Amino acid sequence: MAVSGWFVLLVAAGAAPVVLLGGVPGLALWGVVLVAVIAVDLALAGSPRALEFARDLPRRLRLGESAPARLAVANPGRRAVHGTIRDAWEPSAGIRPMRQRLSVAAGDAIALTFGLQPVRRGERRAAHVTVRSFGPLRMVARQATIPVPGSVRVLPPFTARKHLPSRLARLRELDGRTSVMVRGQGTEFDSLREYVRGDDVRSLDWRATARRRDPAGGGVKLVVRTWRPERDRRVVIVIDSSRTSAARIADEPRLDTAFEASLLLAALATRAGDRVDMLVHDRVVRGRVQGATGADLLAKMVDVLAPIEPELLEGDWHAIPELVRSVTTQKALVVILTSIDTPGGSRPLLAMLPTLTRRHTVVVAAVTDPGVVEATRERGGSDEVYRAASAERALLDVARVATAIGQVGAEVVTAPPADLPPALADRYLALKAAGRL
Amino acid sequence: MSVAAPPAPPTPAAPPRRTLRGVLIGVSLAVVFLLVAVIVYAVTRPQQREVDYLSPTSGSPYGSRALVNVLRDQGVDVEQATTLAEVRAVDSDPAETTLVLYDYYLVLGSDQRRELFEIADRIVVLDPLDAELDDFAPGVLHAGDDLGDTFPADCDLPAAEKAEAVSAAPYLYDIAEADAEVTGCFSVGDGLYSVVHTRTRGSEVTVVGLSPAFTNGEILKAGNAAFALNLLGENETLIWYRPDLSELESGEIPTAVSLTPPWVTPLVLLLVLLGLAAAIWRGRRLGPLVAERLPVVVRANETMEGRARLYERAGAREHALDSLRIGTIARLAVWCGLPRRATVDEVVDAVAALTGRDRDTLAHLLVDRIPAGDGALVELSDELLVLEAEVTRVVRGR
Repeated sequence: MAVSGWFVLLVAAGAAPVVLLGGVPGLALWGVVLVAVIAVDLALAGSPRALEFARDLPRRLRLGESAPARLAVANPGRRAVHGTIRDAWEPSAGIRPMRQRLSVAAGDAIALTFGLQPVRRGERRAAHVTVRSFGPLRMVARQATIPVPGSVRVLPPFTARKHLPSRLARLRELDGRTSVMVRGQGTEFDSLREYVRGDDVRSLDWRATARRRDPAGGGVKLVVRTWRPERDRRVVIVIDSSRTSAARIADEPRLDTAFEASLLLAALATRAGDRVDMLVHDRVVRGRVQGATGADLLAKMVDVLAPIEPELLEGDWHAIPELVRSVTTQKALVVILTSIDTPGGSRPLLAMLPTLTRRHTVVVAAVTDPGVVEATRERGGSDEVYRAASAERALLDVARVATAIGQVGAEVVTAPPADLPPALADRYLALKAAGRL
Repeated sequence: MSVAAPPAPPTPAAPPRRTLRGVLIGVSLAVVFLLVAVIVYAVTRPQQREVDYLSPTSGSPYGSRALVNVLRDQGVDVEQATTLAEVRAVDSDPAETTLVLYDYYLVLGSDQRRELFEIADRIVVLDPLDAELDDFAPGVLHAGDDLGDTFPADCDLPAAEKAEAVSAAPYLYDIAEADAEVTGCFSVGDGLYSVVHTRTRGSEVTVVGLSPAFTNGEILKAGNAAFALNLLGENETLIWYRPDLSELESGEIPTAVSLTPPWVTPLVLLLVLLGLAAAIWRGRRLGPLVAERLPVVVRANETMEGRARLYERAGAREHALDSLRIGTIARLAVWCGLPRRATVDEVVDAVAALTGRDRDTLAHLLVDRIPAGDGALVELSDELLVLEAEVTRVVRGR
């Protein structure tokens, strides 16, 4: 049961009979009036429990976008339902408006539209619908909460998408280059074409030139071989979702930055013709995308990544080599997205890396905190100097871990959150150009 | 439509830990509350002295049992009363009745006071205030009180004449505005008297500001006993009337409850009902909240800040300075074009060559100097920054 402001006014109006009729009789009279009003409204209000609901929701939604959430309300009961309706979602689903007026005639059905603008990725759930149905006097309402579950998967925003066109252009530049630039291990023969000025003479293919000599005479047409970067290489992205990934840098958890970077890398690598597989792991595998290509790859990745949150667990690095072996036995580029903060914390990672580097090319990508670099320069008072010293110490730790990783044969990419995705993509392009995949 | 399983119930949060601080605050609040309660009780409790004062049954120095007993021995029928009903119940001839009124709490209203005139022809009012004087001796005004002293009678009131003098701390009355029939006794000067005799509404009224003289403790001083016995023992019956607070409950006296109109209580009930209705109107929620499992929020630089505080609290100046110097030397090495693994000496040499600074001073700054206090540490750190800026400028300028 719920009451309206009018009912409160009605109660207040009871002051007149109480004073005029002298106390108890007035109060009794007004009590009878109030009970009658309550009884009439409750008896004649349309039953909210009789309503039937159906949701029409978008299956997926990118974080930052908004989408309509439709709610169909059918009233098979004998009385019209007038009142207020609230569609109850998790707070971070960002539903607007919170409540709407509802008016469904008996036997009728209507569709209501709410707006969803989620503020957090993951599975956003709706739990129930609450209806407050007022009687004909608009004084008292029947209220019921009916479970109507529903959910929308909010995908990572992939804002690093904006870096994709420029990296794709760089990728195309790699194609069709002559041998000097890229020839070597890891490149493959692409085609023969006529020599143009500027081509390296060392890439001339004399045998093909001889074969192409024009029988009708005429000049000699020189033919050069062109090379293109190798294709169909394997890229394995390993995302660390253990406790260090929960830390927020520039108001973004490390894990989300890792998602952005891996999405950009996957988009680029799949266009370059490589096969991309992805694992999210802390103590167990939290997410896995294997064997997808093209547009399907990105769709699957965002879908798998969307509900994954950092776990407050110590990561189990010993399992990683076995996991990579389960994905591919070929030589592959293994990209590990984690954090390299302290030598102590990175010891398990360092112990595991040699196993991987023996077979694969390994890149360790980590987010750095721009606030730490900033803190080294602020030295106004003694407390700021101590802070700067602590920040220098933190940078030194990162440098030591990076050096150690380099010593076991892996590469390190570190950048602030906004720069990590393009930096990782650039490192991929560089490795590809060098034919090290 | 996409339907998912209803959300899992939220795990109950651990109850907040009760801190020692909270317990201390609670205990001290309780102690303060108890203290206040005790003080309020002590202040508002009627004191024994107040209860006993002029009581005909009390043998304490403030009671009046001695006087009453002597009167009874002399054959006076002394009736004591604490409510008006008891006064009325005394069956005696008004012409042969004296009534002593001591209304310390000012319980009686004007109507009740006037009723007393029908019960007794002689009324002795002890220590009255202006409100009582209006009814008993119109025109007589209360004019404060005085310290104890002995006063000569100085008038023709028989009881006063026989007593000759009394000794007590009196209330004083001004009779200047009163009728000619008024007689003042035991003058204190300036037209002020501590006993005033008059006739009002056919009764003899004696206003006595000398109530201490009637107590066990003072009755034997000077002529106090003679004055009291002669004043009160003149008639067959003496009604000793000390209204107390129970009078208020008898219904004779109008109280706040009996003065309020009958609809006030129902109106208050209605207001309570109104508050309830308003609370339901505003407070009733449109369905329960939906619980959401939120991710943990960990600020990345917490370890850095924590270590900074540790440095500061421990005064680890050399540790802090080492970190700053290592950072500076690493950056200087980069600017000078040295490899990462260059030694400190190589860096010092290169910087000295680049900036033209003295090598020993540089080595002192970058390696040897030990700061004496936080101020020196800040100075050193500033010097390191200046050096870095200088090297940067020189390298860029080339």
